[in-house]
Amino acid sequence: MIDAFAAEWYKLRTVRSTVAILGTVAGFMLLCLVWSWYVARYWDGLSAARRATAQAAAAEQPLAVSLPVCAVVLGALALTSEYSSGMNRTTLAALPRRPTLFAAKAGVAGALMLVAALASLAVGSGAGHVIVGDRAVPTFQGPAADVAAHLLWLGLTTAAITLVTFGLGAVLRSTAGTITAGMAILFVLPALAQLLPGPWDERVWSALPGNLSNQIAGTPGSSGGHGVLDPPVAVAVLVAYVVVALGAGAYSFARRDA
Amino acid sequence: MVDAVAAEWRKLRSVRSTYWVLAVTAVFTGFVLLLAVQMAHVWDGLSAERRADLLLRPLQELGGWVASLCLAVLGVLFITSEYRTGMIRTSLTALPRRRTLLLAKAAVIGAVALVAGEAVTVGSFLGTRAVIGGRPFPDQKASIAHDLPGFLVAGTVVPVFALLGLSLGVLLRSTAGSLVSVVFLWHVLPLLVFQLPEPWSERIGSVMPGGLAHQIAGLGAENSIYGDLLPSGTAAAVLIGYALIPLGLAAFILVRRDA
Repeated sequence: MIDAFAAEWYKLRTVRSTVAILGTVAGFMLLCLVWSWYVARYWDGLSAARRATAQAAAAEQPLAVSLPVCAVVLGALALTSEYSSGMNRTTLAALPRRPTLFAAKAGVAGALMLVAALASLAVGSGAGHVIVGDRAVPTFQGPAADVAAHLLWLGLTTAAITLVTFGLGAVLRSTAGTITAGMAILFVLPALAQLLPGPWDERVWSALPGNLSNQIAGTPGSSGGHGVLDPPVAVAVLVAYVVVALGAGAYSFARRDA
Repeated sequence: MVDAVAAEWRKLRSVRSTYWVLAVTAVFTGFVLLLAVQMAHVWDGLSAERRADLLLRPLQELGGWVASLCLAVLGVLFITSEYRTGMIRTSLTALPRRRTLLLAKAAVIGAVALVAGEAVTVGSFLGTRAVIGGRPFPDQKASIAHDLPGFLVAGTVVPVFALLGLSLGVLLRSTAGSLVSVVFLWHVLPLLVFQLPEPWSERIGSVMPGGLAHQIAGLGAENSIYGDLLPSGTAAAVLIGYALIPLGLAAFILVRRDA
């Protein structure tokens, strides 16, 4: 099992796409700093009356938008790239125990995205708070514990989305199909859900994977509108997505030809 | 050139992904019509003053938005699948004039996307109108002839995204990389721009590809993440620029790079 993890980690860190994805995450982390610097300047130019009502997105907003996209791509490529290159046949010849292989791949991809997300969020948000300093921007002045919980759950949902797309990739076995399906779940389904008749619009929207993080631990200092689920329910829904996607993926990976 | 177009048409016709993409687009349009049926029911149960807030237009425009993504994916796959399978080497052996090859690909995917885009936008519009029957939704009071040109313009955004996908595919040669770039331009970048403070959210939001059709048709940008600062001629020029500038760059790179 440890060998399988080591092999998958070696594969993951030696392909260009991983470097590109981590580079993208780093780029958006820098964007967090630029954003915070801009918010500070914007705030300095406001009158006292407008400061009372002014709103600005939190420091980690650029990462909050881009991390799910990076997670979809990494989760999809972790398995589907082997199908398109034929590498999966070599892999299975070397390690015929498919459940072990599946677990190793999922574990490595999920862990890498979790670490990348948490590290970039911590640096981006921390530096953003330093840049804005003691200016009373609501989204930059949340209690440290709330900010930490928010960032932790952003990172965990990023890892969960990686695992969900990984399972989807095992079912679909096509890079294009998996990435498109992942993007549809992140962007098209929320737009569709909002068109449903009430109260289903809010209920369905709240249960979509991209919207769960803010219901578990929302951005401190931002005003509501995040969804209708209680934090424990949202955590349960998130876990259910991961279990169902990985289960379906493991089943089709174990039963089908390569 | 005619042979090149015929060859590319045959390639597009004979791969599975084409039918998947077109099927998803068609099914989604059907889904839009189902939602319209639902909205007509909702309308019947509402009081007069709440009816004034029930808009149908966001639903009518959803089809074109999703078709843009689907056909952009097809545009990406049209070239990156050749790079992945090595088919590109056969294609270039058969047709060594690379600009002609790219032009033929662009013509085929552009035409397919234009037909699909118009079918989806006009179909969504006429279909939802038929579904709601005579119910006077606040944004559906104009005659069909009055609103139709706006939807015809919205249909032209779909081939622009398809050509953008094709160009990005030539430039990046990777399915995953090109798909992500297209999705970034399609929705992620507009979302990020929307978060910028005024006046920049409106200024940059006005030149996002998804918001141009509204500006060409002279409609406002209420209830959307885009801006509406451009006059219609400028917006049309920007939209054409989104299709042609990346394509020119792709032609430039394709001629100079190995395959």
